[in-house]
Amino acid sequence: MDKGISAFRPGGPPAEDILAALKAILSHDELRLSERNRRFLSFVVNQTVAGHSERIKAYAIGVDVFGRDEAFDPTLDPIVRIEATRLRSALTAYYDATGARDRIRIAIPPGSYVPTFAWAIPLAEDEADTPPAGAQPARPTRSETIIVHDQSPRSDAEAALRGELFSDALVRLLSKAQFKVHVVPSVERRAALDAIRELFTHPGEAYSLDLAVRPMLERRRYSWRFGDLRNGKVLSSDFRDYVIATAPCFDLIDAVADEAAQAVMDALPD
Amino acid sequence: MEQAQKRGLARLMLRWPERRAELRQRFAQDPRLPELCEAYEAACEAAAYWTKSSAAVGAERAEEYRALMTATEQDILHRIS
Repeated sequence: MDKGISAFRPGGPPAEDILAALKAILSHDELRLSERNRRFLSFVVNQTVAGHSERIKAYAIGVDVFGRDEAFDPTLDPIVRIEATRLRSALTAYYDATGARDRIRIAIPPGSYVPTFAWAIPLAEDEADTPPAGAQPARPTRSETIIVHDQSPRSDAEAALRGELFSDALVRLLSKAQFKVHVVPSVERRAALDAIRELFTHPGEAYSLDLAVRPMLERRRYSWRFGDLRNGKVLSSDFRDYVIATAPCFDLIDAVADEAAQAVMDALPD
Repeated sequence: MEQAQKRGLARLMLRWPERRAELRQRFAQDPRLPELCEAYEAACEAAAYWTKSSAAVGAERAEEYRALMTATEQDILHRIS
């Protein structure tokens, strides 16, 4: 089982923790889901954990979860699309309230039925006066500096906007994780730019985090590359492709940023 | 898809005229709400399609989508309350 989840997202929560999180969330009455949609959530999580995420398509869900026959046509019978939207909404509401302290977040990004799993970022101290049972202790301030450089093409306003949102989310997450974070500024901000250049020249414990959102027809590629400035070694690099959605996609960008931040933390020694 | 979201929103504003301002405001602020409006619109269109369908499962599907319309309405009310 571990093999499947490792293939899905290296550095993510282990399979047994994901399945325990699934069991826990399904036991909550506060999760506003019908029995059928609870089976839907179980199906996509279990298939992904087992390494079969390629099987998660509208047709398979329609047949296996919603009892449709082999003639099922998702364009005429949009049950899966509708219920997936209701499922996303229920998960969002759950993690905004009852599940705010859950260690693992299960999400189904728009445009896909394949779930993502991420460690929750600890709440700020003023929001969490008592740590939840089993929670990781808060990390002390880290000595590493991370220089975030958004390389999304400025010629594409929409990709540039997504890049800014991706960068903002990452900076927030890395700052919460106690890193010293710098963002490569525009050329007009010369003093800040010179300070960053000095870090590039004498990196000490500084690392680079280059990110970008690049357009290709109807798709957008969110990529990140984390490297050690002292030797140029790439410590972690990955990307996620999404079909562009006309709906607001803040949650999706936050989820990608969460994965990238987790990958950065996994790439560094504790 | 954006058009389907707006059609869903319009349908809901007709259904709940007293909540129009609230719906409009939350539609612009909560990324989940346009998605739910689109799902609602899809459920309404599917209910209409299967009601007219001569397929053996037409009546059953129409009933299922009408129930889904009601369930999605409840989701939306819960989200904006």
